[in-house]
Amino acid sequence: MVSENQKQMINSNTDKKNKRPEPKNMNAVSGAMPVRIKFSKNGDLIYISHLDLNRTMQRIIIRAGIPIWYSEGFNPQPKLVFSSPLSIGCASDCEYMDIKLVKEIDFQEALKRLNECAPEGLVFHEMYAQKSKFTEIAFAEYEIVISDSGDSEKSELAQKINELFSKPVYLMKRSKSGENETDICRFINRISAVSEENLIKISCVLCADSANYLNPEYIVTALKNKFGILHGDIIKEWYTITRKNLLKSDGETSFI
Amino acid sequence: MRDNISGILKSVQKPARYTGGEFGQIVKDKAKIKARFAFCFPDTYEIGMSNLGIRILYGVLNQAEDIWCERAYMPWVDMEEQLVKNKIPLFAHESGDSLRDFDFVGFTLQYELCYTNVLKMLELAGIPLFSAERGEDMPIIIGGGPCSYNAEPIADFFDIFSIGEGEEALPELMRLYISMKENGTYSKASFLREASHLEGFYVPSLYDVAYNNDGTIAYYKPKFDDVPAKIKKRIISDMDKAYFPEKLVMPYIETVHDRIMLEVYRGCIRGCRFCQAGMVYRPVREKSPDVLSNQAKVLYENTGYNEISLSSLSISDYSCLTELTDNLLSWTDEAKINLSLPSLRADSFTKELMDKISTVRTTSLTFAPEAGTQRLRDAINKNVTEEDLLNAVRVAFSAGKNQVKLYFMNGLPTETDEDIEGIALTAKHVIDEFYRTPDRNKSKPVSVTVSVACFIPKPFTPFQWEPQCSMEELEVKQKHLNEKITDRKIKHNYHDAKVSRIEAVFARGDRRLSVALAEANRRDMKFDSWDEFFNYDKWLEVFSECGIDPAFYANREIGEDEILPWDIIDCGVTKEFLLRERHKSRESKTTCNCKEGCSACGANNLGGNFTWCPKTKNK
Repeated sequence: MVSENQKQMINSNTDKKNKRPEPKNMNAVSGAMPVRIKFSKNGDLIYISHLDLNRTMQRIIIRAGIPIWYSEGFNPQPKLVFSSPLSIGCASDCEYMDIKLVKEIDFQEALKRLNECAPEGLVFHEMYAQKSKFTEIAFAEYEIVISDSGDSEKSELAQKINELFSKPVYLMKRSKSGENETDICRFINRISAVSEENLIKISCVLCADSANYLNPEYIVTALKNKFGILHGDIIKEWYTITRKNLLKSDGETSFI
Repeated sequence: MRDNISGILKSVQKPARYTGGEFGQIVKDKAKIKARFAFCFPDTYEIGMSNLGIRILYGVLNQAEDIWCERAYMPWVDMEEQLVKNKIPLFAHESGDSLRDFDFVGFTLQYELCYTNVLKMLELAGIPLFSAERGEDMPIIIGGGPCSYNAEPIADFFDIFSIGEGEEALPELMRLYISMKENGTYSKASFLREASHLEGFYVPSLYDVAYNNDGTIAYYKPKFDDVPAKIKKRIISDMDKAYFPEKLVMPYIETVHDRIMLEVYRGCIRGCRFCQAGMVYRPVREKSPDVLSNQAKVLYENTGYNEISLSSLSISDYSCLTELTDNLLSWTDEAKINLSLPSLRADSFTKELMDKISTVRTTSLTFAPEAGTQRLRDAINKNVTEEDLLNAVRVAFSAGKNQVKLYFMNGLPTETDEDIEGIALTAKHVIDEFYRTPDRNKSKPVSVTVSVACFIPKPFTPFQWEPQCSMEELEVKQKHLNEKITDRKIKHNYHDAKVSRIEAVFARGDRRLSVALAEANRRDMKFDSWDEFFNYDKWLEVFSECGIDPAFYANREIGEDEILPWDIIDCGVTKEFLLRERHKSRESKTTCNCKEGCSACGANNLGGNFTWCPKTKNK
């Protein structure tokens, strides 16, 4: 569904990601071991911002007694670095957080402690020594589920959605240089929609590096604008967005 | 019900205010619950989650297996709009159930200006406002907190008030409810009647009130012989043994006090004559430093907070402060925890104390001289001299601080122009002290913020009979001070006199004000403590529509022999003591603090361990 031209552009853009500055201090401490923690964020947790998540995580790690490395200086803080940011309202099955440990610990035991100290909706899945850099993340895969009480036949709507994104779709998109009318398809690696009972399920792979990031809400916005859906009863009509995976620049290999 | 409000949550600011689900929240199986209690804070989530009282009482009530206490807050206006539009009744955070489904809906009443929010929350839950309009199917509405010492303006909306400290009282009330339900003797009326026999519970509907032609109170009379004529406040005797929450509900979003609050002691030895807290929380009862340090450690391990605030009315009056801070610092430093000591008094702020809190990031320190001249400081019994203040700021300046915040009050009884000019002068002297401190931080300019509140006469204070200055007078005083502050290094903030006037009306109000509050609710007035919502003209319209003269409550000198609306409450401190203090203030005579000697305020009759009260009088 994505033209060769678009793919090239995406690839050239992903090269720019190397300009992203390395997180400060993370590698400057001798003896501190960098580890990566994979977690998922669902339920009520989807409504908290990145800053709130950072604070929440700091407290979970302290409660769990993980010997985390603190930043130096006047106001030492437990240092956490997160992978690609997640927008408010979006759930995720695969988020990553890097920390440094000042003491060796048993990863399985630590994971157990973290899960005991976490609120419902936050689950820690894996803990391992870092093997890659967050700058290798190029795409994110999402599942969007839409419940619309409108009259339109759902299978027909799914077909229309698939057609919509085969051509440029212009939306006002925010970027560092302000808000511009942008063809969001430039940021879509692939997208497909199916109907399942009364729901529309969309699977999509969107740009997710620091230079090119498409908030999956734009996909929903495009559908709202084009098909007039999700404009009715706020209780009966709803949609969910879940990040399913983070992918490397080939758009296929999972980031770990 | 939570699942289908996702659309709403996506459309409002800070949805995490409404989701619940925080780490530490308590969820129980409804089938095993005999009494459900919704603890409501009539302001935003961020303010409510910061309240120490709720943290304690939430834990106390949930200790019992058959009681489930949940939380609810005042929704912000965007959420309120969505709730109304989608016909969703206001719900509690843990279960998502409407407040109407609870056995008890409790409000903590922290300030008078929250009253409109209380009514708005009842309205949003579909609960009739007036207690007389609520049938057996409606929850019991209960209030507590500082404003319950004169709850008369809201008495017609509440079924019960809990007077004093609730840790022991509230579970007793729940037990009464459960047992009456179980043995089949429950009806709302019979329960309320029984509740009035428990110590520390005030059931306003069981009293007849009559007024004289001049508007003053003729009498308060219990409707039945078995109903007490006066309600004695409850206190916890032994603070070391008092319930202490070892776990907290951890907010996701940043709240006002997002830290461990370690309650060091209750009460205050000082007796400033304007201060309600200093009177109604007597007698002073301290916790021992070992207990406190252990509690702090447990809380740190269970919360992960990196800041501990030592909470009390005046922390430097704590008898074991050195021991406590040494004890805490022995492990908090390593754990990279900040200690903060709010409520510092200028006369006991030392270099030693400064060194202990030097890890705190802030470059600013706050002191409250309250008045600008020694004469007026003596009249209000503040017992701080300008020398004390200058000593304190010198310590702060030599430790590298360069910002000082000073709290004052305008409109105190007997205040003259000289006193007002004294505020400007005091601030100037603090600036001068900065330049006289040789080891001051020379890299940054000094700044002094003078923050001036308006005096509000409060129940159970020696100034409870005093009139509040008229709003115009207050505004003249503020203007006068502003003209006297010429130094650019001094910043002058002041409270809106209009807000203070409405606060004064409700602080000393009686039951006749309930119609005004109902009218304010009808006009959709709410969030009165928020500048963007407070509307003075609207309040004047409400009062005039209800035939109420706000000056009768705010600006009138109350006769010493008058019956006061709050005479029905016995807060420990006697009227004779308050009168003595009032008369001494006229002569600018000070009263010694509880450490120095007993002034026979009467609070020792309530008992209590680790107090300063003379042992012989302890019962």
